[in-house]
Amino acid sequence: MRGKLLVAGVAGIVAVAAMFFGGVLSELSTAGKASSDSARARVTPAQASRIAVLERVVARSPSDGPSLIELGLDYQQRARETADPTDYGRAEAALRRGLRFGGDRYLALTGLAAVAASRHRFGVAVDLARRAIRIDPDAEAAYGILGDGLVELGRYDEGFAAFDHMAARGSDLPALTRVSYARELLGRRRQAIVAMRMAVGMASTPENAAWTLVQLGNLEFDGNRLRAAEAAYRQALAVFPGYSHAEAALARIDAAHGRLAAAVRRYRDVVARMPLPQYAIALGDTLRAADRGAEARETYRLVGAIERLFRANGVRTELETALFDLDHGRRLRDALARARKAYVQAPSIHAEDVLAWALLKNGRCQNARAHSVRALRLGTRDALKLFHRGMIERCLGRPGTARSFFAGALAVNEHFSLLYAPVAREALR
Amino acid sequence: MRRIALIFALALGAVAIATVGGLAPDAGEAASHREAPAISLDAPADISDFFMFRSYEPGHEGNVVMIMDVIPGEEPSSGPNYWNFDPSVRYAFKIDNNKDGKDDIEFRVQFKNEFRGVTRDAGLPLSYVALPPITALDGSGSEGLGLRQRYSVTMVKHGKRTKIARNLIAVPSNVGPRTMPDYEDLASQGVYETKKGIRIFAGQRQDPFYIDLGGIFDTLHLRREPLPLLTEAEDANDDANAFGFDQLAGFNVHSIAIEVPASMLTKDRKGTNATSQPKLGAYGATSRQKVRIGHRESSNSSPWVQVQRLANPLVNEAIIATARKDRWNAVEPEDEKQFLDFYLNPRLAFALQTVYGVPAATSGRTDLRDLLLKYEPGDERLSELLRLDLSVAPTPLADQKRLGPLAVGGPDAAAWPNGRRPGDDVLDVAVRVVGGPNYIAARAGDGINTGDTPLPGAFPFLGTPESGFDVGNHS
Repeated sequence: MRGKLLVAGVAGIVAVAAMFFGGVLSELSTAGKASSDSARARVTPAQASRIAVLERVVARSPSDGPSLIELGLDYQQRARETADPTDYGRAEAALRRGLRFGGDRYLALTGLAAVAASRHRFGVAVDLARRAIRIDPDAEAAYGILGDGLVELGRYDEGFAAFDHMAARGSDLPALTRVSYARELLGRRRQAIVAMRMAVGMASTPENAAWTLVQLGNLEFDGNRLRAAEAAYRQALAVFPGYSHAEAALARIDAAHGRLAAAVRRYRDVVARMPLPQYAIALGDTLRAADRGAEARETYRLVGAIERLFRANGVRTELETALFDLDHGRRLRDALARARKAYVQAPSIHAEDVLAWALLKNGRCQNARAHSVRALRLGTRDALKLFHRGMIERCLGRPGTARSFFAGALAVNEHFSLLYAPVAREALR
Repeated sequence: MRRIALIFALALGAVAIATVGGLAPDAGEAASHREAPAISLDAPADISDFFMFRSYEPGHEGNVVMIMDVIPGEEPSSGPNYWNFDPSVRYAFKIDNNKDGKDDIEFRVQFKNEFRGVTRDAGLPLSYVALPPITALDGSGSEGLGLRQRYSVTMVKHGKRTKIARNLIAVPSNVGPRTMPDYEDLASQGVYETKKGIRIFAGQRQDPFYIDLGGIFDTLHLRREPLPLLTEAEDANDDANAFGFDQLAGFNVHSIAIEVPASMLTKDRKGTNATSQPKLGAYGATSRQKVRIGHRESSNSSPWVQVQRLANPLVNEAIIATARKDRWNAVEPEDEKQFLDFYLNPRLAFALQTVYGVPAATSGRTDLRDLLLKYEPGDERLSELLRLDLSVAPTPLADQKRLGPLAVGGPDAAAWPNGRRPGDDVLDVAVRVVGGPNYIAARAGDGINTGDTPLPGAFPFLGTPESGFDVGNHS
């Protein structure tokens, strides 16, 4: 089964998606469809040909270390842009071979650390990043991945120190985006936006610029500033037409404004091109909010298929699948087990929060509260975490406390969730 | 400094030092911070060469020209992004005009990226495309310039900042004849002149440095046996190579050039003939802002941190033989005293002696100290600066001798180490001067006396870059 899924890969998922949405695809305007097609091939033609060239090179010379490492890094980059998890395995294999055959050890180890992090194996990522740093203590990139890994393991002081170290010799885009994230986690949204704006000014390719603009837009959205968010997303599309993450972000804006049909159309287009679990989930939730339950259920089945593909390619998905099931009232006990497992593997504040939610949904409200407290310990102004805490307090029979958390969530972002913002508002009536 | 090793890594394909992704997007949060780029796609703030000289363009001899070359070893065919300045870097020329080793005047250059034009509208994530062919930097004919860099120049003097120029456009990489049918015409549009007579250029040029790189760094494995010596006739011929390969031929570089009336630099504000203090010291430096996460709500002080400096050529490679070159780069020129040992006992001299078996002057080199670190022999202060004596007239291009003070038939006084011009053979001079009398007498060198195309005699004094279509340096 695993082998089959690996072969199917993204093409398979997209074919499945096309079957569901075939009718809808024909609704797209010509321009939209054209950009949709080109965006699917948005591994740029030059990059695609570079990968093809390198594949031929290493086929002819299987012990060409430097070329193997270059190919491995290109696969990792392609996975980043297309969300095709089968590239993680390719990247890992190429990088490991490159390491064996005399390629640049620092680059190989940093690349392997990045692959591990993409698969949510953060302990491995931290170890590999440390090895890379021992080889070249002055190079920046490994500190970024080290910090990423430590942050996901819940070791925030160490992670932030790694980010500061990365930024110490002068801050470029990779460093600034991490400084921004750290500030966001510490509840300093305004300063996070300042750092992300600086990063935007430093982007050197359309993809980097678009990615950073979407991050900026998300910071604004999560702070209830929808107009600023929309402006950033539109700027991302101006720089990189058809950029899936920007399109998905605009779909979220549509939904926030109650334009559910438009949101559905955008999400469908995105999922057809870049089948990531969170976009399929968002599509499903939007369909549900629009009272299109049957289509929503079809979409949720697609989510399962996508997540099985990720799992088959070595990505740990317990946290994401647990949250999905909990939000949709499915397999609650199993979801709790998965949430626990994810928490043990990587006790970040996100894992604490999902575990808290799982405990609540399984009736263990006291335990839930302990984890929710830990999830909010950094002072992050995170509406969803605040909402979860409100539900937990309600379960514990403290409606007053619950209401203040619901109000807190809506104060951070009144559009924090299609499913749950209405619940919070209802509770405050 | 030349990141020599990088040149060969880059030759494999620039984006090899590619974006190494961070984490996969999280299901719980829409495309969050995750999957952040881990490595900048730009080369680091790497200065490969710094030139300073009195202009030898007829009619401009009263001006001082300073050029900073960055991103060494640009492979011309490196599409689709080619090569660009780094917007997170502040590039600066720093000048000392009162001989105390500290900079008195600074020219700062800063770039910004614009994504625009036809490539954006057509949904092509490419930097340059011939839709239509690019014949202008702005307006009609520039639609194919999908990625454009604008820059500003600021002068800092006595703590006062003056904007010299803003919104200038950097000349893009030479992609090829279909995309840029008349590249030299395009490049000439990037030569700006301000009202005060300052000329500025930023963009791609051909790398003027000529050297048998592989030979030198294969432990001085130069390509004439038993010793790498030139005959007097070969030494006198600046237009032909005696032996070896110029392994920088075919590579480009990014240059920032600025030409300034000398009176704007001198302490008494007088020109080259009238000033009473004609000795300037200068260097090129790159800095980045240091942004910390910070633990106070209003922490917004982000100081600029120097990441590289370059004054005299080859100091970092041949003299400062320390592993902690980053420390050297972060230090100010006037604090060079801590490295004095490297100048007095140059490792390069040891290396020459060991490899060639010819005695070199390996210790007690107060001459090197005085040459590189002082304005006058009696100076107490030591500072690593490229020094230019404005009272020495520039040599017209046709008469320039690459060996400067060691030239056959008499010295060229307007050559390195009195300032530095693009055509000066700093490697041969350094090997001979550092090696000592035996090496000078024997005419040791790498055999490479010239680049593969002649240098121009007008601002910005560096040649047309190789086009990506015409040149691909594949191994």
